[in-house]
Amino acid sequence: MSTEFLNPLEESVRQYKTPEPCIFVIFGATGDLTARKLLPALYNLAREGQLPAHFACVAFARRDKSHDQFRDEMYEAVKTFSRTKPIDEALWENFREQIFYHRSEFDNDEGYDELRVFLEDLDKRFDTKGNRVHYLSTPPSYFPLITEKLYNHKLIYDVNHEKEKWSHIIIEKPFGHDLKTAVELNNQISQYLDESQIYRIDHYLGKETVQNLLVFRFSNPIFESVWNNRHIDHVQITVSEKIGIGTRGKFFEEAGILRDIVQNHMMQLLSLVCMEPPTSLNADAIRDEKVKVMESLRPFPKKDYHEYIIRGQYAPGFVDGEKVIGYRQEENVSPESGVETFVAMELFLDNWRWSGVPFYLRAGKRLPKRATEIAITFKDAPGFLFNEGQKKLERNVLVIRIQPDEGISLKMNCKVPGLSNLIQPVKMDFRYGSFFGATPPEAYERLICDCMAGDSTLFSLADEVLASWRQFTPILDIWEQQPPSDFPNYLAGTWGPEKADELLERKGRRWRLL
Amino acid sequence: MIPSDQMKASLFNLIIYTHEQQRTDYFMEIVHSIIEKFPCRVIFIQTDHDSEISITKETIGQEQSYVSCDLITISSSTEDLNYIPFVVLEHLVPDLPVYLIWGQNPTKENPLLPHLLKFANRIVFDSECTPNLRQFSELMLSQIQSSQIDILDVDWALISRWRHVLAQIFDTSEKIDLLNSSSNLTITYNDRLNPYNRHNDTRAIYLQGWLAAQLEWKFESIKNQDGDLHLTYVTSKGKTNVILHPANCEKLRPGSILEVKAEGSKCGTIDITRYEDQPKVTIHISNHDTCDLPYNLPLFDPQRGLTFVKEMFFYRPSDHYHRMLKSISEVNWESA
Repeated sequence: MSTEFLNPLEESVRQYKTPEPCIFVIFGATGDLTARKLLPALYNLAREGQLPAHFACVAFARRDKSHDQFRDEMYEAVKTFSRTKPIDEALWENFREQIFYHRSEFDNDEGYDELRVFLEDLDKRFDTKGNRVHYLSTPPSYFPLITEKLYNHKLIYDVNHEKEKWSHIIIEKPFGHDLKTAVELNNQISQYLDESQIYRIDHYLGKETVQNLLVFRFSNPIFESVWNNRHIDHVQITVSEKIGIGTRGKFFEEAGILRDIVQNHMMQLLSLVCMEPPTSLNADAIRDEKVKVMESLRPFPKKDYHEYIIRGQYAPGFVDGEKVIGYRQEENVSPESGVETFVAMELFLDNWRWSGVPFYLRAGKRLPKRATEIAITFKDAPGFLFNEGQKKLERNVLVIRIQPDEGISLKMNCKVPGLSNLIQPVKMDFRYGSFFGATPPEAYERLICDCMAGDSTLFSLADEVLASWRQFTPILDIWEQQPPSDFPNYLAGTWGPEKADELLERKGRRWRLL
Repeated sequence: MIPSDQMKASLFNLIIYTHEQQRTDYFMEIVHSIIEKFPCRVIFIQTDHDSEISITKETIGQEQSYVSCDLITISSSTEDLNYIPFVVLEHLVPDLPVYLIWGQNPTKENPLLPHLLKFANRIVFDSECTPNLRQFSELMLSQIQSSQIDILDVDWALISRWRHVLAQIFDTSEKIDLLNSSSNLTITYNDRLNPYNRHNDTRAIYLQGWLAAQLEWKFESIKNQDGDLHLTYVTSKGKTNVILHPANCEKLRPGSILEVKAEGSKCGTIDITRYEDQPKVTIHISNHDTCDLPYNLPLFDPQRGLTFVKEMFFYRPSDHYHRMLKSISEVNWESA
């Protein structure tokens, strides 16, 4: 960060990071994300005293609106979407005075000039010291344009020359559509920005339980000592959604679930589960280890790829006892669509720790339950002691639940009381919500706060993003060339196509029944 | 009434000892603020009557929460204090940390304390119970140096939000300079009469002691003038007169800080005032060069806040606390 000043009144042990004075500029501020996530996140940060004392927020969008109109809309949004209710009216009265609206087209030079003058004026009023967070809440196609305009109009600073103030840019996924477009996007924005200024947001990383993965792994040596191919049989990562596509048909027709969920969120989970212990908790150390995981992913074989990755699409079925339509009947979806709403795969990491351990990933829409979890299945106990006369012993399974009902459980075997030696699997269960009554902050709160403090640990590095695209782009290309002949191939409300089960069954394994 | 479908949970054992009946409600309020965020096994020890040892168990929790906790109250006469550790031991949840809130003057010997300290991971003293702050701070300093466990104090935790707010406001070297160059720094605190607090000025003393320690001010003198305490410090820019001023505020808790105001020819006026009816402060800075618009910062009632709980049980005791103790141990408070 810019400042060398060490505040004698700041207690380092109290707050691990302090957001610096800044102006938070949201591009595309009339979109859903601002109302549902960003403003409620800023409000809650203000409510908890986590926003810098010197702060302002400027909404940049194309629609004509006054400051007050925008503030009133955001009041309704915060009232509806904030995790803390009811809204603190007194706090809001103060907070709303820090919110402003600036109307401009994204390609209008004058609009950016006016924005710069406006922000400089706000710097004087709010003592925000010229620091900027630019949040690009726009379609990705605008990222290069907005970045270029910001640079040309001196709204982002050259890190090599400007030491007194800083500018960060947060960009939302998708970071490209495939490897080629991701590289292009990266090259375009890198002309104007240093990598240290780019904050690629993946809200999964802001979730409390995802952050707990690092704590769980590296502060509990009991687990870390068995966290390898000598003890682990396989790992299953599931991101299952009960809902269908809803109003996102147009977007989903272009993306599909591999791009929407797997390439980003699931790869982040995979890298946190598999990374080596970092040398420190700083952003570079952690991200270096995550990149190594991505780089050790074994590419899918081009010829027999279908042995390792399965795609599916939901047909009409039943969810929660109610009849639901199939993907092809959804709004803005082609009746012949070949877009996948389910994907399951077997992955391998070619590194010392994980050699030979299969990682089974599945993600799907219209599955029976909403659940995100990581399940580590350990190897069998030597079978000669307790297997006689009864069914095979169950394996130990450690489950890290990301959502809902965040927590960690461990399945182990236990003697059934009585004279016989019968064995029954039992579960030890830790539930976050039960133990910690405090409502955890929303992912966006944590990530915005980190960006204002210049901490990029929980953001994706270009290398990570590109490595992930490198893994999946060949498959996306093949799928495009070979449209599916069996779609739709699973009923809404079931756990995906049969082929997904076969992926594990051929090796004597099964998907966990969630 | 606790709903029947609640489950019990414990993150730590919390032992509270008080021999002053009037402090019981105060500590119970603290207990409720703690279990709201962090369920724990509460063992409350009271020695305020002459009866034999009695133990009562009940389940406490928030109505809207599905988690509840055990509250075990142990009452005893002062003669039976030696037996208390044996009773406590059987009620501890094993493998969990043991935090002890000691609601008695620590400068006074108590046979219970050494026993409880054997299994406590952290002890939180209540400076309110001490009649002599200088003696208290000296004892704290020596305990911190000699003890294996973490030592904290309730009033230090209660001013955590004020410390945070001041750090947010004075966040540049220029602003710290303004503070150093102030000729008067007035801290107004709520001196409302109440049944459980006798030393309403403790938090104000802590806050000024913390500022003096962190800004490396050297104590010079103390006097009482019309009910206000006047402390003179030598700062890097000259001399600063710190005034601790009592006021009466019905809406806020006794002992709360109400206002911090710095004045001087260079710094102008920096006024930070707590709202009576809202958990926030308003800040107004004006001097020869600027007259900023007032702005607000949140200031939660720490007793009901997460910050307070974290401060008491999770954070490591910081150097700031040690320095603050050193600073106030240099002052003979009784002389004023």
